[in-house]
Amino acid sequence: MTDLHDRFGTWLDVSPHDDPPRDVAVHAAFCADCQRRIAARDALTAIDVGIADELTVPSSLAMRSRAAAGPFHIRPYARVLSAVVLGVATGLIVVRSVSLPATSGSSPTPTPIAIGAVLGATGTPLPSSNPSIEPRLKRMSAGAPRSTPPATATEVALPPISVPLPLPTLAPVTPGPTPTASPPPTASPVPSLTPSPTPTGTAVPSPTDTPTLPPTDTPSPTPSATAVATIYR
Amino acid sequence: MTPPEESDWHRSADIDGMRAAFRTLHGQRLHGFTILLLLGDEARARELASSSLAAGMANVLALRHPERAAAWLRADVLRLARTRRSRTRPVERRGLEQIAVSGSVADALGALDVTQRAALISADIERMDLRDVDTVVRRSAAAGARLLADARRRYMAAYKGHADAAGPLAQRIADIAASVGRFGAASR
Repeated sequence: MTDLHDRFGTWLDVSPHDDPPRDVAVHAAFCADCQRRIAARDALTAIDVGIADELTVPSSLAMRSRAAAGPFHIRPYARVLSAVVLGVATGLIVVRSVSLPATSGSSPTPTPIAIGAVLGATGTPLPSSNPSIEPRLKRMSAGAPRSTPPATATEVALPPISVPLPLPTLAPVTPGPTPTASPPPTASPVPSLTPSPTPTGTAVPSPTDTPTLPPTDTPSPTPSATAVATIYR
Repeated sequence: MTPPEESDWHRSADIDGMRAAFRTLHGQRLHGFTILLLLGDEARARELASSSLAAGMANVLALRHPERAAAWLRADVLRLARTRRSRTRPVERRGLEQIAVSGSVADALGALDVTQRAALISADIERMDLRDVDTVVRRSAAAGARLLADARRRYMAAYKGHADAAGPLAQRIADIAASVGRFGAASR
């Protein structure tokens, strides 16, 4: 009996939405304490919270909710703020990148170089730290004509293996006539392509004429005659 | 293509409509839940429920699912009920008349703490899913189930009302017992 009572209590505490076991239900139907529990549960489930008064949100709370909503009202400020942060960050990066060579100490005399000068390649190359290149550079600058633009340090460092040769070979290339000769070959394929349409133009009319000609009428009697002849034979 | 100001205006108009619908959908039931949670303290219930409803309206885009939103709102009310102290002394229970709660039920609910009450109201009165009940009381599934079972036990033990044979559970139990009796009579 107590076991059924406890089982009903457990069922009521854990899973009252399902049906109870039959023996437990039979017990509960005649047990006064279980009936009281059943009444407690029925009184609880009879409550309808949906019949409460309408809730009004005060204007101050509505304004707060509107401010907390954010996306539409904070967005313009967020845009300006993000632009400012981006600008400051970019400025810091630029300032740091400019000030780094001066503090590194690799060059003996730190030359203040403006950003525009660096990007425009108007600055003069710094003296190289390799002493073996210096005499070669002087020789090259003395022997070679200054027709070509002044070479940078990296371009000069490569040729010393064959010192004077590259410069004479470059000199004939610079005159204008030889580059102008190269376009005619590109023009010659064009005429070779143009003749091809003309034969096709001549070929087109001949097939179109043949179907329209009366010969289509002439063959028709002859096959019919031969066919009749073969049938009656 | 509409200019951004116009589309923003349309979108904000949509949001305002959604907020109004949110208030209509949840306001009344949330108010009733809060009245019951606070055992009829109507003024405080109105204050807390309004505050939670305003917070829900602010997050209306994230609270589109009605049941999840209901659980979220009740969890917020419970949080406020724990943190904000009542200003009305003594507590008036006039609010319970609004939702037709008998004195014996109110007394039995008074035997529970506020978290147990929230679990019991959500599960047995509002018939919320157990996951939503766990959301309301901010517990894991196992802890939420334990809390709910404890709340039911304490409520049943504290209830001093009379038995009522006309209740739905009483009817169901009587039907099952009767079917067993008929089966027993037929088998004999």
